[in-house]
Parts: sequence; C-alpha cells; structure tokens
Amino acid sequence: MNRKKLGQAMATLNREAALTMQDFSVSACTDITGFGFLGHLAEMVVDSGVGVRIRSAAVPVHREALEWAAMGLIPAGAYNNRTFREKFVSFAQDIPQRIQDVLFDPQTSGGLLIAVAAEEASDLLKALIDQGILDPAIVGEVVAAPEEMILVE
Amino acid sequence: MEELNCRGLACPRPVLQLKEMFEKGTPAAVSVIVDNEAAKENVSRFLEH
Repeated sequence: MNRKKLGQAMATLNREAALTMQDFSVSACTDITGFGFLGHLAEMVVDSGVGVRIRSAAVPVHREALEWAAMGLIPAGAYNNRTFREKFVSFAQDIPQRIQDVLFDPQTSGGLLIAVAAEEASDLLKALIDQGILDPAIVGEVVAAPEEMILVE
Repeated sequence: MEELNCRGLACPRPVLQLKEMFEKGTPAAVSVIVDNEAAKENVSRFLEH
C-alpha cells in the first residue's frame, strides 16, 4: 500500500486549489466529503436545470480503495448515500459494481469538485497541476439534458 | 455446510471474519447470518469476488 500518498492526500488542504480557481469562471464548487462523490455532485445538480456526464475512469481514486470495495469492505454510509441519491444517478451498463460503490463512498479526504466554464477547464487544470495539487482531473461535463441527472459512463 | 454467525456485527467485521475463514481453507458451502443491510451487501460482494 502506498501509505505516503494516502497520507499526503488526507493531509492536503483545499487552500491552494481554492485560491487557484479564483482566477477562473467558476459557477459552483463543493468539497467531496461524507455524501461521497456522487452525493455531493447530486447536491449541485438538483434544482440546477442541467445534467452532468461523468467519465468514471477519469475520477481520481486510490487503487487500494477499488480493491477493498471489490472485496466488500464498504461502509454502511456508502449504501445510505446511494439510497439517498440514486434517483439522480444513471450508470452505464458497463460500469463495474466496485466503481459504483467507490463513487458513493463517504471515505474521502474532502477534495474540491469545481464547475468551471468549459473553455477554461484545461487552463484551470494546468494551473492546478502547476500549483502541485494532487491528481487534479477533468472528470466530466455539464449537459443540457437529461435535466438534473448524473450520467456515469 | 459451515455457518458463520455475524449477528450484531457492524459493516467491515462480517467480511473480515469471512476472509479469515477463507484464509484457513475455502469451504464447500458457507452460510453467513447478518442482521443489517450493509453487511448483507458486503458479504455478497466478498463471496462474488
């Protein structure tokens, strides 16, 4: 297990990322904590009038988390998160169970999920990389339809 | 058939007990009794794994 990287992820504050995004056209932002990635994303999508398409392979996940999820080491909170928000989430048929489980998993270290103007996304990504932010990634896009749904591909 | 009583155990423990059992040798059949939904889901995932 890569303890050093796990420790680094948990000890990283959002200060640098938050300061970096201030130079960009950010329309929404949340920190991913106990409701899991999809739970917090659902909070952004509900009543927004738009939908979101997520490329699950692009979402940064610790390799060990996937191994443990596959083994059934999933906290009860992940199932509660799923029950709470599953009506807003549609998984493509080929998304494995372990990926679905980690995307609802409450075991996160509070990284930021930022909605930014599409034409600025790659510049923001580059700025985050330049700041040394751990594993920043473009994980999806806002779409006009289906409204208020998260499509996970 | 071997039986594992996991009543009263919270989420990771039924899976860890099952893992311990499998490390000693894979039983031909096992019955696991749990009393909460998360444990049921987790044990099912472990056995499919």
